[in-house]
Formats: sequence, structure tokens, C-alpha cells
Amino acid sequence: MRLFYKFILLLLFVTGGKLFSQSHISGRVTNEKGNPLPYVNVFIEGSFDGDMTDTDGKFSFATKLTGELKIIASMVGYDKFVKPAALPAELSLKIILEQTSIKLKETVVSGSAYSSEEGKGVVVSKIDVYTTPGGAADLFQSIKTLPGVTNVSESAELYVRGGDPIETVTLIDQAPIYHPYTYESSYGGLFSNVNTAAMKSMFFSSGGFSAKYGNALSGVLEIKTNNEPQVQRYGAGISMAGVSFSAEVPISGSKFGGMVYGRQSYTKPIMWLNGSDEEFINHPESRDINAILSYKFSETGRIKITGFYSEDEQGVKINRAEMDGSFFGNTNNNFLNVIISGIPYKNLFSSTSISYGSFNRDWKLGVLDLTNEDSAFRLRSESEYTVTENTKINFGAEFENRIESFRGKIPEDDFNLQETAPNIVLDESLQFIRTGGYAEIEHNGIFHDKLFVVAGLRADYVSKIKVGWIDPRFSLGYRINEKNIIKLGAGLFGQIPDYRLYAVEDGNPDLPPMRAKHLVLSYDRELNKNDALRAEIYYKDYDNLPLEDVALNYTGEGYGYAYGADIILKGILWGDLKGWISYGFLNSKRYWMDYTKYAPSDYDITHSFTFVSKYDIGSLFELGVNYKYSTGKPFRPITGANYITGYDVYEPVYGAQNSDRYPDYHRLDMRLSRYEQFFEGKFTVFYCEMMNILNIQNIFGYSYNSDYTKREKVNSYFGRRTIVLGVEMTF
Amino acid sequence: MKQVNSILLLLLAFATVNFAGDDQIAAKIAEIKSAHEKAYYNFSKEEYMKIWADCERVISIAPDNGEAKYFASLTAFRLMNVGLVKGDKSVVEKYADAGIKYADDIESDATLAAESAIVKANILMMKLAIVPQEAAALSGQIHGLIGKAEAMDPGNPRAILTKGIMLYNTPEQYGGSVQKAAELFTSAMESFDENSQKLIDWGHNESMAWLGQAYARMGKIGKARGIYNEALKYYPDFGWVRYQLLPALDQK
Repeated sequence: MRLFYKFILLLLFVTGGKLFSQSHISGRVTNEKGNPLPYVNVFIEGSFDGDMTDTDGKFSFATKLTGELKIIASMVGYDKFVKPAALPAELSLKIILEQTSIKLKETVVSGSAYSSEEGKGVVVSKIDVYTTPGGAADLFQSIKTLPGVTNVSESAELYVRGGDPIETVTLIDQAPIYHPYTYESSYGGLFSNVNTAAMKSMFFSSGGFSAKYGNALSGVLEIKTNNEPQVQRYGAGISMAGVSFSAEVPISGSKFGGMVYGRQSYTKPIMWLNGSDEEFINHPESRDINAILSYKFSETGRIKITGFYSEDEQGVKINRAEMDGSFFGNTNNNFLNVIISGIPYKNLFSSTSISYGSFNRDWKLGVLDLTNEDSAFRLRSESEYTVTENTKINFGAEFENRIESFRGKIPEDDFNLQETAPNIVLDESLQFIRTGGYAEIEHNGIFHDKLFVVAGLRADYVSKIKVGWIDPRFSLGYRINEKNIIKLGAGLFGQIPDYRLYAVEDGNPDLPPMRAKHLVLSYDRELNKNDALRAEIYYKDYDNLPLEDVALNYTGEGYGYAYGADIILKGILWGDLKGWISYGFLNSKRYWMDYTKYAPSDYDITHSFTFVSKYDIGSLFELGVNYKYSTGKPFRPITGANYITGYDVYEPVYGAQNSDRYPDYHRLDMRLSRYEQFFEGKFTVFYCEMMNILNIQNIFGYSYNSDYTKREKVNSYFGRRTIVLGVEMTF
Repeated sequence: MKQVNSILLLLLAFATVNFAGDDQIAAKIAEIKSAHEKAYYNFSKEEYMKIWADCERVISIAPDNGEAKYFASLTAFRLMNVGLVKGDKSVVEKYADAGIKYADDIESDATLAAESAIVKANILMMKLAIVPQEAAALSGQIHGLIGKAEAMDPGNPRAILTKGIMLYNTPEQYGGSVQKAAELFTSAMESFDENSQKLIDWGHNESMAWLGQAYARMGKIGKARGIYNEALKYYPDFGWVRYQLLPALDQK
């Protein structure tokens, strides 16, 4: 009997104890706006006891657990809610979950923006870059197919809406790089030394860009390099233009990895196959290597080290009125950047980079014997603080110490380059320390839920000239509906002119910063996911441009304007035909540098038309087409010449400033590719690239006989049909 | 002495009630596994969210439990699939990162590494569907992960199936091939055995559905119908085949 009582007692104790210690926990989970959140997992930490919220955000569960415990409310995309609780107890909770990092409502805030990332303007993907015929998989050459980038020459330099190439800044992992080209000559660099394979994404804006970007009058190209690779991958390519290799290797799991991309280009085989107008002493060759180490140290944090090295050389015979001799040029370029990014505080994303770059270029042509060194140390920090899902604040600062030196001899007169010609000896080193900062607010739903605004202010100060300037920038958008947006952007933009113009010997150390005002009105229509139509009109007004002056060498009294319209349709053009069609109209006048009067600028390309398309022709073949048309570039004609007895040379007499134009430019490039898989999942692409297939003799200038009585066309780089065969594989 | 025994018994009773032991975790994992199968046929976001919640609770009890993390990543993949079909893009984006995180956590677990790579490859395929402009980078990663899984577990039917899906969805000019995909789906179907379904139980039914689609795309309508009907014999609740793929075939 005693045993029975004991048993009953025990049973009562156990069950009764449990009954008496049972807690009931209920409540409701909402977001910050008070909207109910369904599917939230509410439970006692370290147990299975819990419930999932219903469509009203309500939950309710019982638990027999006792003691000091923690109640968790968890949902992907929201911060975990943790509440200590002493159980048993009856609890009714009101839980508010905050988004882990609030994402600003998707909107396109930058006018004139092209990006490889969805939601940041018209999309130009990495694959677009690789497959644009005639572009040699070069990012800069591909960007030149977009409206607003005028085809002033065949170089890779970006002439944006009537602006000089120096007016567009290139950033790699947020650090500026000033010489991103190979074969830099007076005609500009031919290709980029940034390997497209090393690129993760790019953002390009041809005007009205954010206050985040300083010291740029016309455009911005921001490139982000690859993050740590998830899988091991190797690639190799060989063509008549060069060889390339790539290696992407995870070093420690999926969080740490390294990548190396290298290229060696040579021109002899192409010239052997296609011929050449030039007589080369050293056939142009270039090589570059891009290396990246990336470590993801936390869910949002990453440190990345990027190093670039490139060099090139060329030697070519020159037979012109100015001289009969040889041009030798070589450049080398180094760049090292360390960037650390992450979320140090809730909703605050920050990235800071420290970089060092150095560039060296030697040019020798008759009396011209010049070495240009350009090195820069930069520190840049950018932050984005998302206040609510409708409001974001961006701010940042940058510091740059750039030293540019010029050593050697330059001709006194540009019409006489002979070895014995009068010359100026240069030995100048110029140091510019620029500090800048910006703050910007993005807000959706101002006055009206369809209106969005971006307002920013940036300030820059350059110690060398003891000048600072402030640039207010503003953009207002109206979302007509999900597919249609109208935007208006305006702002001030400042930039230091070419540093060379600050030389004491032949420049002016007191030149002011150049200024531009932008006004851009654009209409975007999203046709479907990756197809878009954009039309823009713009006006750009220039002040404080450098202008040659008899007494001071240069003053800041130059001015000018550019206005025009751009339109692009990208996506499915017809049936299975994909690609893009772009057209740009431009009118640009300037009075600057050596201009004798207010005249159409060198970059005044009235009409630009581009058609890029790819078509799957079956049997694993793809045909790509790239057709370009542009109005001929303006130039100042030579109308006569005067004989200079002492040097046995003629000095040309020029006609009115930019009163003539080169013939219109036409070029049709095609690319035939065949994709093969010799190994599963590993692609091999055979291609035949046919540049200027119609063999149209485009020119980039005229050469004259010694007394300037006869002139001959100087063919452009691709002034004759050029065929390149190649193969690329991954393994 | 008897009193002491009673107290011990009492404590034991409480202990089993209050703290989840290994057996309970194992039972919960089995429950999750079985719930996965049901949720797949019901194509139900709610059911997957419940599985996700269960996985989170197991991980809160046993933070090193690889199976729970594996099932969490598998759930993320399934939720992305549901989100994609139902046009809920935010689910696809949110669960991609969460699923990859759990898959990465178990990449060094010898017993789960191959399966983790397969699920991660499938998550990236879902991601590829919403950001096709990243195809170049993502497809390289996906193929790399499949290769990694094949190297670690040769003949894994889910690796073969995943490779087939990738080939099926890749445009021909970039190396896609419906013919090769069909061969892989057949091979995947034949590779499923008891061993391959011991820990994880997914893929056999899908191999059949994908093979049917490959046949249909090649114009082999009779063969497609045959394989769909066979799938329904094995899996009568297979809604994807019964309500979508077969009716689509009838319209051809």
C-alpha cells in the first residue's frame, strides 16, 4: 500500500509538477511599420518548443520548460529577436522585427547610367563585353558602343558628350586609375590594361552623376573586381593577337581565394596576315597581369588586395612634314589597392581603400625626348547608411597625393620635330594634394509616392593651387508606373586640368579648376527584365577651361558647351535577334587650349550610330555584328606654309579653327564563334573576329609633304580589313 | 533508499521532458526529412517555412549538427524554387544567401560535403534564373561545384541530375544540350539506390520529370508521356507531373 501511495505521489508530482509549471507564450510579430509578419519562427532557445506566426503575425505555444530562458523570434532578412524570460509564466509579447539591412526600394537614381548590375541603369553585362564584335573583349571598347560616348578616334579613350578623355575618371575598387590604357600615344591608348576577366561589375555614367564622384567633368567608370572564387577554374586563350591565361583558386573554403589573369599581346602575326600601312621597327607588344586576393572575414565583411601591372612598347617609322625619323614609345603601369568593406554598424555599409599607383612613359620622336612619371597615393572611404526603406544617406571622403614629373626635351614649335630643332628642356615635378568629401541623401516618396530625389554636395580642395570648390548635385525622378521613369538631373562638376599645364616652364601654376554644369532629362522604359529603352537630352556648359595665352602660357579663360540627345534600345531587337541600337546627336563648341576662336570642339561628332547584335545560327555557331557610323571629326585645315630658312623646314599656315571634317566613319565588325565542350562543363570557344570587314579606309588624320602642298590620308588603327583567329578554353 | 530511487526517477522524468537529447534530435531530423517529401509534392511555402523553423530549432540545440544545416540549405533551395514559380523574387534573394551560408558551414564535413556542394549548385542555378546577366560567373561556379561533388562522391545521382538540369537550361551555343541532358537524367534515375537515399531522399522523382521534359523538347512526345506516367506510378502525388507537365504535353 505504501508503495502504491508512493507511486501515486510520484505520478502526481511528475504530472502535476508539469501541469503547474507549464507556461503559455503568445503574441504578435510585426515589422517596424506595424505590419504583421507571417512565417516568423518563435521558439525557446535550445528547444523544439515554439510556433510559427500566422498571416496575422500571431503565435501561441505552451512549454513545460522552466528557469531563465531565452525566447527567440527569427526570420531570414530580419535581425533575430532575443528576450530573456523566467519561466514558468504567462507571457503575451509584442515583437517588432527590424530588417537586417534595410534595402532601399529599387529605383534608378543616376541619370545616364549603364551598369552590369541589375537595377542600376541599362544593363551591359560582362558577357556583352566579351561578345561585342571588334571590341577584343575590351571593356572600354564596348562602352564606346553606348550612346553619349562619341567615336572621336578608334582609341579606347572615352570621349563623353563632347568632353575630353581626361574628363572621365576610371575607378577600380573605388581607387582612381589615370592611365588604364595600353599603347598610349598622342592618339590615345588602344585598349584597356584592365582585364575584363578580372572584372566583377562595372558602372558607367555619361553625366549628371552622384556627388560621390569628384574631380571629373564628364563621366565616371567604376569597376569592381572579382571576389573570392567559389570553385577552382583555369582558362587559357591563344589568338593571332596574343595569349592569355587565368587561374581562380579557392585557398580556404569559400571564404578566401586568389585570382591571377595575364595577357601578352603581339601584332606581328596580325600584320603578317592582314598587312600594315606602317613600317615598324619594334612591333607593338604589351603584357599585363592582374592579381587579386580576397578574404570574406564575416558575413558582410571582406578585405581584398588587387595588384595590376602592365607594360608595352612600340617603334615605328615616321615620314611627315614635321620630320622623317622614328617614334619609340613605351609605358609601364603599376597599381596596388587594398579595400576593406563591411557593415560596422546596423544598416551602415562602409568601404575604405588605400591604393598606390605609378605610371612611367617614354616617348622619343626626333627632338622630342620626354619621360613622364605619374604616381599617386590615395585613401578613399565611402559609406551608405540606410535610414528607412525609403531613405539612404551616402557620405565619404578622399585624399590623394599625386606627383607628376616631366623630364626631357620638347620641341619649341610643333611643326619642327627634327633632332636639331629648337627645344625646351623640362625637368619639372608637380605635386598635387587633393582632399574631398561628399554627403548625399536619396529619398523615395518625396511629396508623392512616385517621386524620388537624390540631393548631394561635395567639396574638393587642392593644396597646390590653394583652391577649393563646392559642387551641389541634384536629381529628381518620377516613376510613372513600374516600367516607365522620367528623371531630371543637374549639378556642378569641377576638375583640375591636365597637370602638365601647371609646369612653370611652359604652363601656368595658377590655373583654376575647370567647371561644368550638367542638365540631363531622361526617360527610361523597361521593356522586360533585361530589355530597356532610354532616351535622354542634355546640356553641358563649361567654364574655366585652359586657354593658351601669350604672356601666361595658359589662363583659365576658356569656355564651351555641349548639348545633344542619346537614345538606346537594348534587348530583343527582332525575333531571336538580341543586342542594342544606339544613336547620339551632339553639338559642341569650345574656346580652349590652342583654339583661335570659339569653334566646334575636336569632339563635336554630330551623329553617332551603333548597332550591336548576336544571332545563334545553329550547330553551336553564333554570329555577332557591330556596325558603327559617326560624323567625321572636325579638324583645322592647313591652307599654306612658310619656309623657315634656318632649319630648312616649313611652318604650316592654318585655316579657321575646326572648319573642316574628316570623312564620315563607317565600320562593320563581325565575329563568328563556335562553342565546344571537349570536357563536360568546360567550354572551348573558337572564334574568327573580322574587323572592318568592308575594308573602309577610315582615317584619323592627314600627313603632309615637307612644304605642305600635298596631303595623304593616315589610316586609322583599323583602317583596313583585319582578321583575327583565336581559341579560348576553360578547364 | 527507496525514497532516493523515487527522486532519481523523478529527476529522470524531468530530464527527458526538459532537454532535447540526441534521440529527440535524430527523431526531429527524421521528421524534417519526411516533411520535405510532403512539402515537395504540395509545393507549399508554408510547409517549407515550418521545416526551416524546425531546422533552426535543431541548430539552436545542437549548433554543430550538420544534417540540420544540410536540410536548412535544401529548404532554402526549395523555398527559392517556390518563390521563383510564384513570382516572389524577395524569397529567392533572401534564401539564396541563407542557404549558401548553411551549405558553406558543412563543406568540410566529409559525409555531407558532396551533398552540400550539390545543393549549393542548385541554389546558384535559382539565382542564375533571376540574374541571367551574371551567367558567366555563376555557370562557372555551378559547374565547379558539380565537379567537386562528383570527385567526392562518384556516381552521386543528385550530382548527375544537377548537371543534367544545367545542360538542359544552358543555351546550345554556350554548351547546353537537351540530348546530353536526357542521357544524364536517365543515368541519374538508374543511379538511385538504397545507399544514395539513406541520408537524403530527393532527386529520383525529379530525374523522371526532367527526363520527360527533355524528351518533350526533343519532340519525343510518346516517350515523354511514358516517363511521366511511370513517375506517377511511383509517386502518385507528384503534382508537378500530374497537373503541369502532362497537361502541357497534351497541348502539344
